[in-house]
Amino acid sequence: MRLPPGIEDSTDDAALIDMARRGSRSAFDAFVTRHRARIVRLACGMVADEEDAVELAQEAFMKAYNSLGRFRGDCSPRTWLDRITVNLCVDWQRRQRIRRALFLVPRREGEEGWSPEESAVEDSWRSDPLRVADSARIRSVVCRVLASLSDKQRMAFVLRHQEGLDTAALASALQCAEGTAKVHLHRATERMRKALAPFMAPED
Amino acid sequence: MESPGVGTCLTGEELTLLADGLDDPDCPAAAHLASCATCSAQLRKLRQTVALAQPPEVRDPGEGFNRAVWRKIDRRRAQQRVGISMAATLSAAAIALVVLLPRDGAAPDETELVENLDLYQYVDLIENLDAVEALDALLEEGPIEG
Ligand SMILES: [Zn+2]
Repeated sequence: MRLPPGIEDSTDDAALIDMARRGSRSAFDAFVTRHRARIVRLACGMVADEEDAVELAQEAFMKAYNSLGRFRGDCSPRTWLDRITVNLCVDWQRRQRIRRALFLVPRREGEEGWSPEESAVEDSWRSDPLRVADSARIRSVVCRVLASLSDKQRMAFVLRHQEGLDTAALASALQCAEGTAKVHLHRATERMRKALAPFMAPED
Repeated sequence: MESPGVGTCLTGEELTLLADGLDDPDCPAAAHLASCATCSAQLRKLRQTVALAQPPEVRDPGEGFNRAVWRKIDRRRAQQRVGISMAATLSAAAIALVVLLPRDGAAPDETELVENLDLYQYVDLIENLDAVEALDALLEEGPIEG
């Protein structure tokens, strides 16, 4: 792909965002190009449906563009964009929950009021030893566990386990002490571990 | 934090951090893991959890994605402009009303607004089918005579 003048592959995110803040649409466009696949994947990890994920990823970039003036640089543009995306996905899930409540659609896995232990469908799935891990089901559980976490726990899980941030960067993204960030991460991972236990290979 | 010795079990937080394998493999925690079946089993579970929770691989959505982003940005900007001009019109109308209304004019009836807000509280009720049935039964009985 050809890049606009003044922008190279090596131009870092901070420089692109700085140019975009000064009115360069092509700088923001290059930022979108650089992160779009990653952001779609991030959204996909939170809302399960790929079409919804693409839509939410586009909205995340729109939101980022509209809040360029408020970006203070206290974390990297990448983490800032991740945070926008994760918050958007959570808002979307909340709206979906309200919609489902209004139209009397039953609760789904991971939502408030649902527990894997109580789900008869889950039990029948578990009782079938020949069943291989069903990736759609796993994704659905992951999405719903993420939706049920506190904002900080969710960010900690996504940023560390999906985006690979180290403890210091995680603490800065969560705006808390490193020790607190570790606690959020641990609680989130424990919740996920319990929910995913039925899908794990048995210990030898 | 004090580093665990070979004989000290790792905390949940330490194990969670090791689940991504980002930490130094030569750290004291690694030495402990090599000698402790409990901690290494827990770590295996956490690693499986992280692996299962990975988002699926997606294809690069291509240039069409950028075009859709710009369409959304431009549409939002246009909506904001319309919103601002509508807000200006509405505040002008509000000012005109305040000026034109007689001093002893009736206060706006807030009952309707409060009733509409109450509707949201019934969302929980609607979710409970027993409650809906009870409500149906109540409606069949007809209005309560005063
Ligand atoms: Zn141990």
